[in-house]
Amino acid sequence: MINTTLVTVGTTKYDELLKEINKEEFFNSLVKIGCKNLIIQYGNSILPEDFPKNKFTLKNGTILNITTYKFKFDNIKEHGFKEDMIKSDLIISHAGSGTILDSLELKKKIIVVPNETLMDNHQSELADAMSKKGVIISSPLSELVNTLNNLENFEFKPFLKENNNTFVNILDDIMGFEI
Amino acid sequence: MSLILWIEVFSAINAIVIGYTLLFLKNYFNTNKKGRKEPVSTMIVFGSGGHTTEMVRLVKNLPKTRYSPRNYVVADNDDMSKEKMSQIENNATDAKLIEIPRSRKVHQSFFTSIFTTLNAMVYCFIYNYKHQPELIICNGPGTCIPVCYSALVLSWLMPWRKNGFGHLKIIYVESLARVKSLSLTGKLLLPTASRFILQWPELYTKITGVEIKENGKLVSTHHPTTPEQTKSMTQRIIYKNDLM
Repeated sequence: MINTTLVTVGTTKYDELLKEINKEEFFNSLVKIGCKNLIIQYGNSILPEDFPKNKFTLKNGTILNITTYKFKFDNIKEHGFKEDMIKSDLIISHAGSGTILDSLELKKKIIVVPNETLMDNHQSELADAMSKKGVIISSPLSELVNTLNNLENFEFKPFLKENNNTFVNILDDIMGFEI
Repeated sequence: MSLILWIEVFSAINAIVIGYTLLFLKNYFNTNKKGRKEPVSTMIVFGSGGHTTEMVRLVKNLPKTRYSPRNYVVADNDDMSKEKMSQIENNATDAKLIEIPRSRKVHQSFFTSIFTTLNAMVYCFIYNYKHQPELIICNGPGTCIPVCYSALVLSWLMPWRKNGFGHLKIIYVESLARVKSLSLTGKLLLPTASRFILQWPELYTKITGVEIKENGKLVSTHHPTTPEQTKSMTQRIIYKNDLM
């Protein structure tokens, strides 16, 4: 069940994603999967002027609460962006490797929407490779609403390991410590 | 008179050359000894955004008694990295933050980045001289380049130090974000790294020409155009799919 959804673009400029989520069908799909709160971190992108403030009321009267902001910094503990990630159940993100890793670390469901307008786009390679492993969903911008509608059929596989010592073992070996 | 002077100069040079050669040989045969007890002076290069997130995952389980002191290199004005460092270290007394000027800003032109890299290089020489790292861990931000090159030059110039030739280990982990091609930093550091770790099978096969099987299934096929020179590096280049 999805209660809170976070849309994030990090520090990038990704106006197309914000334009795509400023649609009634997007809000409808969110509410259909149980979402009550939508948080949007828009960074250096432009939030459309007609984007609903504070809430969006569906035709059937259901209310979707909306929070938007540019940035929140982690060192201000009460208002940290990390806190918002923690309380979210679904994260919709640009293909930044930092956001993907952070979301996986917090065991969140994540839909990555690669920015197709970027020229040298090795970040979408990461999104593709990770979605091939079944740990995230990679969705083209135009398919975002469809992806949301099919979210319940998708099983997210775990990717990160708890207390992973693989790297430490490599170091111990090369530095001459007993493993 | 001048002949004696020349003989003296010649024997002085000779002594230096022989001294260096002996040190090199000693270091060469002393590397890869097992059963080490004394701690390793470690330098960890932080970058920005995704690089730092990955690096935190790699080093947060480091045994702190074995890897001490730990110096975290950060490009200046990178508050996120400073914050992450204090999160993993909890004010440990043997951990320190080192700030160096940024060597290349995003979108900076290649030409001007030569000068900013040189500027960063000067700082790196000073810090590397001071801290004598035996181990440098890096994963791809531009800051890695001056840090590793200056440390390498110092280890050749001063082979008698504990991180002298052969004892300085550079561990390079290519970022998870690089699935099909090496980053520029990766290409530049490939010749210097003692271990060069790749996290995606396709990339490993592309660089080494070695195919990879997972659960009995071939996940990446041979690339016939692999250069001979990288083939000979296969020992140092390793593939790990469970690093994170």
